[in-house]
Amino acid sequence: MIVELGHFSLILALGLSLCLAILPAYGVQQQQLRLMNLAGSLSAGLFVFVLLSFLCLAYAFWHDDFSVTYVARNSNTALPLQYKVSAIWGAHEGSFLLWTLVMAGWTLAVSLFSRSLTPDMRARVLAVMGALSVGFLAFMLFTSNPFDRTLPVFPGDGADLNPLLQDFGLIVHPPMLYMGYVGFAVPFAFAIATLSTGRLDSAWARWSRPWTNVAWGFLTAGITLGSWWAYYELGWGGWWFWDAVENASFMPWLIGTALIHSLAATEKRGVFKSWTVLLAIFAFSFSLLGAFLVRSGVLTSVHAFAVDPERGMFILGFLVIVIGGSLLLYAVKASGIKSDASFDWTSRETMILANNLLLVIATGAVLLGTLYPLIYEAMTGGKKISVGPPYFNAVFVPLMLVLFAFMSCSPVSRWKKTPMAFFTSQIVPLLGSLVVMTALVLVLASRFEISVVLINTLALWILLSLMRDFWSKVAHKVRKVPALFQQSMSYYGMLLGHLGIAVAVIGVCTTVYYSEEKDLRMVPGDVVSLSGYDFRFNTVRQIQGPNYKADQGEMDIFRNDKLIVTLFPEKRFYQTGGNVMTEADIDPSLFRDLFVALGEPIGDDAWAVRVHYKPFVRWIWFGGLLIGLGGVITVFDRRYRAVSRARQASRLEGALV
Amino acid sequence: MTLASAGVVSAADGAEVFTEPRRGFDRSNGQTKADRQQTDEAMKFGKMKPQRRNRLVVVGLVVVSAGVAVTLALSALNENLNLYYSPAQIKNGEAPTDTVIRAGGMVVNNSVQRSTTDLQVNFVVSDMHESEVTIVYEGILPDLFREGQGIVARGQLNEQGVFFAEEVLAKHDETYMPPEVAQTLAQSRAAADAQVQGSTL
Repeated sequence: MIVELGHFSLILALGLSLCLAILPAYGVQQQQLRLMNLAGSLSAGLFVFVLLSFLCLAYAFWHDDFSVTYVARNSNTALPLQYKVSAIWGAHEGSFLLWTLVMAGWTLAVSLFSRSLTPDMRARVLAVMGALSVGFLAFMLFTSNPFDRTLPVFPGDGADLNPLLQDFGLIVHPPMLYMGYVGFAVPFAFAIATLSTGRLDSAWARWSRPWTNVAWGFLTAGITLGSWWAYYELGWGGWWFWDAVENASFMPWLIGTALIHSLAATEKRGVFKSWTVLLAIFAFSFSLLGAFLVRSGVLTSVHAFAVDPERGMFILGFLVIVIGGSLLLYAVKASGIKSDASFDWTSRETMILANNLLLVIATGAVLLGTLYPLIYEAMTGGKKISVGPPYFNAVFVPLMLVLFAFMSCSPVSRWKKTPMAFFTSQIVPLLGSLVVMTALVLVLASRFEISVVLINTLALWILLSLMRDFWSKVAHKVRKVPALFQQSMSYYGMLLGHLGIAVAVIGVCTTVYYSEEKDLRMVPGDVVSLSGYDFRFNTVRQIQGPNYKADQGEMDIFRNDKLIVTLFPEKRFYQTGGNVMTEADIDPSLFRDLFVALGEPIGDDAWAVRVHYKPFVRWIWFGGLLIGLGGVITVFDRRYRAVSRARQASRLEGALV
Repeated sequence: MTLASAGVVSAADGAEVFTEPRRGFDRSNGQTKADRQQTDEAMKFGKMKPQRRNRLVVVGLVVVSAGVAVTLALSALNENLNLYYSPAQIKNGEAPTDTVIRAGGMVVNNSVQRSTTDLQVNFVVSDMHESEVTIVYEGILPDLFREGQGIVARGQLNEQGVFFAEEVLAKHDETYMPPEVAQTLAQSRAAADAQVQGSTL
């Protein structure tokens, strides 16, 4: 009964989203305020029914209702409760329900926090978001309904959740990621709404900016969490694989990064207007492309959901309508847009242009590498290839290094025109960074790597430039300490974001060059040395978990004959699905991780064992979280509240006229 | 070609940026102030030329950098493509030796042999019809590597037709079949059906 209720509320939600897509837009056309204002309550209704439907699916998982096909496939009576809940989004149908819920949530948020918009603009934006929800809900109801039942004969117990997903990572990673993916629907909707009015002014940039920053912040956090999860659960110590699905999340991130910078220029200076609109369209299009790549099964990936051509065709059709339609609208409406301002080539505008150019080229390179296997197969009549990580590294890394050089100079740049002295004075921190890094690598590292020195110099340069800029904001103030806390939230967001990049770059570079790993055969009592640590393999014992049995290894790690830590890597056997899983054990710390994983028993008490020494690896995720946080806090900027009050006043005036 | 088009798009934008040289005092609100300023545009005509030159420089830079990026990307792509070969193709000598390629198939039952001193392991993959390839690998096999399971390996073939794998991939889902292997099996099955009407299988 509850399950049918869930299904029914999905259908209702589809009806509401149809209304939301049509009625307010019709109201705009007829200039009927009442129809336009329906958008708010329709958004609320849409959210309530999608949420209800989500809760019904949660109930089905909670109560082990295995007559529901989706529950039977992805749960089991022995599954611990927290994983039963997160199993809701453990596979295609349920994760798409989460996607739709997030979409409805963003729609509701826009309707709640956009009262400062003119009624017709608000109606247009919400109508676009409603139209997107129509697509998502129809997709779910027609091709991937999580409420389908297996009746009358259903299994007595479920097939269990894939053990890889029985982890904290599944609880946090997809919701964060979807908040980002779907969040790009907001700037998309603003862009389409503005294009449809034909008045593309800087105001739309001011409206979309906080939304874009927050969505982008969530996407950053989602990708970071995914990388961390892969590291300890899936990757045998790897944290990025250039896997097709990782790329699918990375491309919207790159475009989104370009977008938040370009939006800043459009808002502050009125430049790049049409370009920014195009980026907003593309950021969301790449999110949809990601959904297509993951859910259609066209690409080989560890993340790919089961292959189903019908779903693929549906999303492809949706993709074509959304991208094609919005680009058509763009082509018709954007040609008349003109920039309001000129700028010198030394200006901050130019820096942002360089940022956009590099990020877009990088996105293109990642897209090429991701889709090339498909293109190649189509061109050669079915020959299969794969594009290896060396391709991505060869193209992506040089582009990013150029970008970082621009990044370190960007804080000193000014709008319109920057005195050359500002740039030339950047040489001092650059040389300082170079000296410090050379010294650090010479003293601390096991061997001298020139690439590490140079790349980390860039990172340190970024850091010093930020500090210099921060100081320049404070230096002329009489009371310096309070001034440190009186900058705008947008500014702190920028500081955090760029700081996070510097931290992550140091982490990536150091970990790539100084990690050491060994795969070897060990019998109890064996000792292996790695980067000054001695790993002693003591024993392997049998243990029983809630829904698995495991061989648990015991590994003592010594440094200079002093015991540091004992790690317990496991090889788990999940009874229900018959799956085997490696559960690594890690001794984390700020400057290095020690990572131990059990391979398999290879006879005579011997085990295949992997040991890793990974310096600075935590910095990657710490940096990523800083970046994400930087994006999210900008929304608390006082400016937005002030603006909304000012707008409200002007709206009142408008109503009186 | 995505790269080229991306470059062209940004090039077009680079041009747009400079098309309307205007004084930009409007810091926050674009529309109204900008419209007011439209009138003194004619006064700025004298400054047009350096602006144009600037625009050319920007467009040129965009085109050059996009061109360089495309060239780099394509050459990197060519060096890092790993073609897939089925056991039948390898047996027929269609696969190149000493080049990184991928090979795959079903791991033949009882074919896995381990060294007693290190992590070396040998096994045989088959297209389930008549072609087989021996794969040598040193390292830890993935959790879902099992006899009777479809796998794909990346590595190099030597003159004797033995495949030395650098990496063995078995997917993290026991019902999942790598598409390459699925295709191999389908082809060999089709070949078998065509050759011997219902005798060997």
